[in-house]
Amino acid sequence: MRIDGFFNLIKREMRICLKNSFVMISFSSFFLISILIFVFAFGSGSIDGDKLYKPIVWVLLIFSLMLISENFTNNDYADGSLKEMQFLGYSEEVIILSKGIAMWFMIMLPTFFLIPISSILFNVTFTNSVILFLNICLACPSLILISLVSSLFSIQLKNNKIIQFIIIFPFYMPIIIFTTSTTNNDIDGYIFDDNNFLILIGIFFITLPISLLTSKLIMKEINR
Amino acid sequence: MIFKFANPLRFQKFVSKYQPTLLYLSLIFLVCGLFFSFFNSPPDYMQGETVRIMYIHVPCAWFSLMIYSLIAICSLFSIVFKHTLADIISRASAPIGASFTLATLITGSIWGKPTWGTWWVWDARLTSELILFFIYLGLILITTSYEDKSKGDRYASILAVVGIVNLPIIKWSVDWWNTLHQPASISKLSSPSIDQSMLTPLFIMTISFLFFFVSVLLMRIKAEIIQRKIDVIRFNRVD
Amino acid sequence: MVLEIISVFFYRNKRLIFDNFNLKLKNSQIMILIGSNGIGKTTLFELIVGILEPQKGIIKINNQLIQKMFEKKRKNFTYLPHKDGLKDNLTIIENIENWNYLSASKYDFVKLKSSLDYFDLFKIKDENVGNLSQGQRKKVSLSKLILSNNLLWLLDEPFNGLDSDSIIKTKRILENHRKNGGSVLLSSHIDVKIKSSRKIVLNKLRQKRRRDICEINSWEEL
Repeated sequence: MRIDGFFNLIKREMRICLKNSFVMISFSSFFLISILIFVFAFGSGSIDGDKLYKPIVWVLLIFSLMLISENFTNNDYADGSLKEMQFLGYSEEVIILSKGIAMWFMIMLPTFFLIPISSILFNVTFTNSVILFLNICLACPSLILISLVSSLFSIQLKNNKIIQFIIIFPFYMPIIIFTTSTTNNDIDGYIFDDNNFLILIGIFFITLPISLLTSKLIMKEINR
Repeated sequence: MIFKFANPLRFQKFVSKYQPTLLYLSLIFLVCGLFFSFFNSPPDYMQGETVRIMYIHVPCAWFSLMIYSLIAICSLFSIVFKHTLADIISRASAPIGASFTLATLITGSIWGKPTWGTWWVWDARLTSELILFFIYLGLILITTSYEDKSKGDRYASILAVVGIVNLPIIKWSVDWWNTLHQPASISKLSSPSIDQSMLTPLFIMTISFLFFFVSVLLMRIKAEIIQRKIDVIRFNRVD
Repeated sequence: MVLEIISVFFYRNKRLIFDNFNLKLKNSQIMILIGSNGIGKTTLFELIVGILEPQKGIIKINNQLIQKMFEKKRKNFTYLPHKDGLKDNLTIIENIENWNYLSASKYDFVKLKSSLDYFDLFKIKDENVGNLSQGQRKKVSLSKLILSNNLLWLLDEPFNGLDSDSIIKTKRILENHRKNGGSVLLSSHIDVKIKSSRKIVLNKLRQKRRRDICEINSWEEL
């Protein structure tokens, strides 16, 4: 694969993303509104922010990843541009990789602002929110790849979010386990001698080839 | 020898002929195994009488892993060679594997209540076994939710091959992490860290479960073949 | 020989679609595939561009097997599928530019303008594609033809939804292309007349039918 072809693909994806700015807006408003609902549901009294904040953020992030990943694959399948990219000679791995990168920007750009705002709402300390942000940065690439693969799985199934969720859930689980164990350990005061950050990076390097290969197989199957 | 059964009709006849025998064999071994495990084996010196649940729990756990490996091998075969029999086998064995996994989880939590004091602990073994259960559920859902059966099979085989990463995690989770779940006693066949009197009922139960699995699998394969034949004929009648 | 299809067999959903299918397309030749719906015209195009693989047989473009062509070499044809791949919420010019980038031809605004002008689309170049009518969409995707430098054009139902004026314009493009040594394979479910073109009529294949359960004797049929 020539590298400029890859850049062309990314350019295309980014262009579509920026035009589809409602995706980013809906993601951030979904995030903020759900955070607000949680804040109100805890009542106006003192919130035990540090403990509850992280699981809430992860749940919201995962749900929004599932919803957003559809915009990247299903629309392309519906208007035939997924096929177009394939017969123009781009390999399936590169197509998914470019989509993943575009999606990473779509997620990380709003989160960069959303995490500080929501951590103020939850009275979370500064270091904890920074650690959470680092975790999201490291875990998001693998989560995004997995959710893209799962949306490819459900591309030919209409109205079946449940199946998509059940398919990805087992593969999300290790990532969630390791991210939460990093964030839980910081309460005891040993944050950076924990090697869970390294494990997250390791998981990414395992997910990357597996998800690319799987998406190649699925995309070949979709046309058949 | 293999090519003798390379024909659905002959396979069907073979199943109808030998499947009941396997089921009876499984019943006989089950009765023997239950007798041994209840009356002819000693209670554990620490766990007491509750150890007897092991004779169901352990074979179920073995089979949950073994059936998944069978599915994964068949799926790999079906991705590479696109043989219908591999699809049928993996489609037929997914629900059986799911039920073995569920049985493992339930018996495990019944065993865990008296020994650990809780029904459920989030330790590595239990979690990875639960993940296996969800992968099985995903396989079953994906095979049944496509209009075109071959498409569902193909997707399910891709999912099954990806899900194989979970198997080594389950197998070695007790060694990699310091967990509550006890490590394997029969990892090396030469010198198992379990007494002979407990080993006998365990192996009898395993053999019984094996026969049970094979007979149910054969039955399900036969049913699947007939179902597909009906589909072919209905498909032809439509146009 | 620009395009060569030699004894292709293709099954899809246990249904035989091509049985020993042969086709040869020379330089400066226009070939029209005619057949009713569901006969496999789109499937044939997808076989040629390499999205699908035939169970048996060889397909060659410019005397090269398509299975062995990668990236850059694959771009020696221009295929306009029935599903046009235009994004609803991008403007016409953005869609065309995207296609231009992906097909890796050089960005040339003058050429782009002239291609859009040919179908009178340059005036509305900033309109979103989602707001266009079916015929206008078709014109947008047809204007890609003027941009492309490839000799082999594969067009799936190019005249669908076009008015008579633009049909004449499209035919003019095709004839110009033929005069410059290019070759075109296009499909149509109705009879179209283009000067000095060859027609191939695809007929419905008789399927092998099984009506009795005992007749199904191999795993492949299940």
